[in-house]
Amino acid sequence: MSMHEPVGTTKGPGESPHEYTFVTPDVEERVRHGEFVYYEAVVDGQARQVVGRITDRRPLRTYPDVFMANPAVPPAHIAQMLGHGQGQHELFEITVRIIGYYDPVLKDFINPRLPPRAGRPIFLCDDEMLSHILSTRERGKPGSAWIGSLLSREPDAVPIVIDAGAFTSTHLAIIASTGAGKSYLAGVLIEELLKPYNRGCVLVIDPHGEYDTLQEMTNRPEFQGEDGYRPEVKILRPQQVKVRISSLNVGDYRALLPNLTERQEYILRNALSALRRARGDKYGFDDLMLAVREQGYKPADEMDEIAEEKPTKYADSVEAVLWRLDAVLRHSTSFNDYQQLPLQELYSPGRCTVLQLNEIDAREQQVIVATILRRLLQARVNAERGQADERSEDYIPYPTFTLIEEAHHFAPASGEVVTTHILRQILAEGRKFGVAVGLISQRPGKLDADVLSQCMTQCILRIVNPVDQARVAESIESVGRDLLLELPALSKGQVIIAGSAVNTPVICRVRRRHTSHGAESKDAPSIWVQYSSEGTRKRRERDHALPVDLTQPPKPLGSVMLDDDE
Amino acid sequence: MKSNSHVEYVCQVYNPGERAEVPTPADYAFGRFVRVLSVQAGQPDLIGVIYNTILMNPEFGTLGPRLSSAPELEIFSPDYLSEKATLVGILVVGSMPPAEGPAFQGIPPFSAPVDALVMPLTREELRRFHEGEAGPRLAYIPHLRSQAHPLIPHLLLNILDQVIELFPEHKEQITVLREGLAWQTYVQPMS
Repeated sequence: MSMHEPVGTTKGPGESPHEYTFVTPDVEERVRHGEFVYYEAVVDGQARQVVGRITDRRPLRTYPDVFMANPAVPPAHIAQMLGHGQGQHELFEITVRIIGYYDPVLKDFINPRLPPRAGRPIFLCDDEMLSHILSTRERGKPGSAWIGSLLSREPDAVPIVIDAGAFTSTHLAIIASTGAGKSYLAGVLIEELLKPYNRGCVLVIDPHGEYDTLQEMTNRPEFQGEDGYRPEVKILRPQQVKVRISSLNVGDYRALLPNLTERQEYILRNALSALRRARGDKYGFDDLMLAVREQGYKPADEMDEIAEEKPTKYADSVEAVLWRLDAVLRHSTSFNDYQQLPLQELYSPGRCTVLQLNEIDAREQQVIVATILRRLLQARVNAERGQADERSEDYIPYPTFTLIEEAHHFAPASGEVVTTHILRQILAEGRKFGVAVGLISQRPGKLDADVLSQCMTQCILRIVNPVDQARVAESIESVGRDLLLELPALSKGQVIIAGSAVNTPVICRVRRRHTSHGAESKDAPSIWVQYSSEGTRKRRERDHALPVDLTQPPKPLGSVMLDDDE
Repeated sequence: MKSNSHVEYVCQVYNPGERAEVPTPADYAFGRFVRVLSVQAGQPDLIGVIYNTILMNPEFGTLGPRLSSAPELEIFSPDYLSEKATLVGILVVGSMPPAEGPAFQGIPPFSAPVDALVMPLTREELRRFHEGEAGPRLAYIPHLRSQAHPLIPHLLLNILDQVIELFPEHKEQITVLREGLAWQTYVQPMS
């Protein structure tokens, strides 16, 4: 059957005003869930193909239950015995949700609000038509991100190319259960952003150290530009992540020193503002300790040399703050007096920086991310308003995209953490200043609902947990109910993409990554078996053996032979 | 014979004395398949199944005093006795050529002639009538089910038992149908 032959005939309206039903024998089994079909209608004097997505398929002719009494006897045999021939008898009623006709000028679907008349033919959209109308961009053109292909068609028959410009300005969310392919998809998106036609400026916040393999991009042919462009990938190891103490604010200290009492916070706030007044942002740990200390002691009278400084009533609290600051900051590898990651090192067009935060304490991770995002937003605001110093290391005259793994740590639903405020701010106003974020989470139920609902492009992979499904349903309105029902049924590497980067929600098969995947699960049984195998066991014994067993008294090794003649 | 519709006929069973060989009760039992002989040579015979039996007895209810005794009546009015009759109801379920050729199950286009002879089907003929390309054919069952008669469910069970016996190799397949019907006949009416 060719694509231009009708697959069914319109039956009548569906349950909602934007639905209709049609009946099809579907001999070739092509009218599947999620498939795209169209009918022809004249809208405003022009012939249009009004596209819709199949949301339900139910058989109209089923065998009586009693025919199925014996599993060894196919009900078709009984029907045949009763005189029904072996011909095609199946008939399906298909429900279609109308998306609209595609307007090539507006590059969007327009719902004609005109359901098809009963008896009209329904056609299956062909691959070429779908490639044209589902993807907002052309593959390989600037602003495009080739994610994979449409799931309901043959692999690579209908490429899904999303609008990179949309999700790098109005934010992105990647949501899935663990093992459904979040990091893999994120890898694909980063690859696309770093292709010669995008040359993106991407920072990946990587709390698990999974994104090392992106380094392969530098040498792969897919990423080489004709003008000699090749992407730069910079991996910042945990020990290279540095935050200058002078860039921390009271909120950061509140996060680093949990359960700060009101008085302790007051002391810290006073000390910080005194320091800022006196030194701007040029102070270190010792200066901070001194400033805090000063809050608790009246300075000695300059004239009276033997007089000592006198404690005030805050002295006890001051000591507590000092002790706590000392415990957290003195030996910290991340916080120090002078070094700070310059924003230009983190963000540069054609470069993907991976900030590895594994081995860093969860609270410190939040403070590090908060300080970076705060500085970034400030730098972008200054740059946009022309107030920035162009020679500064923090001068960022281009938009940026920050991908945050385990986003529920940085904006949890259960309460505010130090990053929540800045994330909300970026999601609300970052678009104007070219600061976009991509949030990746395996627990949307634990992610702040406001944060999630502000991500205008959503990539949702398999979600089984009902709490997480409910959160997705309440926060993401662009994904229809019918698609949400698909969530538990999706396989690994199948993703629903919805929102501003696509014309209509689509279910997509994620393409293969050019670089290898860094977050594979460990195959524990095979590692265990290997551990106890003969060869490995012997090697281990050899490596761990003591050179000489010193616990035993020395044994004679032999006796000296004496020459008989002597 | 007489008919009530295109497929529903009434047949009078021969009484003793009317024929050299009178039919035995087994020949016109409930569920027995019969052949209604066609008058024209070469035309297929109708195949039917006995679904009902009616006894005709004009004497029934005449309890008043009689002048003659019963043995005397045999002498004085012999034709009177022949008014007692056994009638069987037949539902036509198909047709079949007399000797060879494919059987047809369903509603045949032609009807039986008045006074047509009705013969019970032999076992071989019954098997021939039900033989399909892949096992037994029971294409007349839906037609029988659509008839409004209280005995039809029991007739169907009776027929299926006969067919199981004819086609033991397809017992499983027919049993599925029989069990479904049995449930609908015996259990469902009680719910």
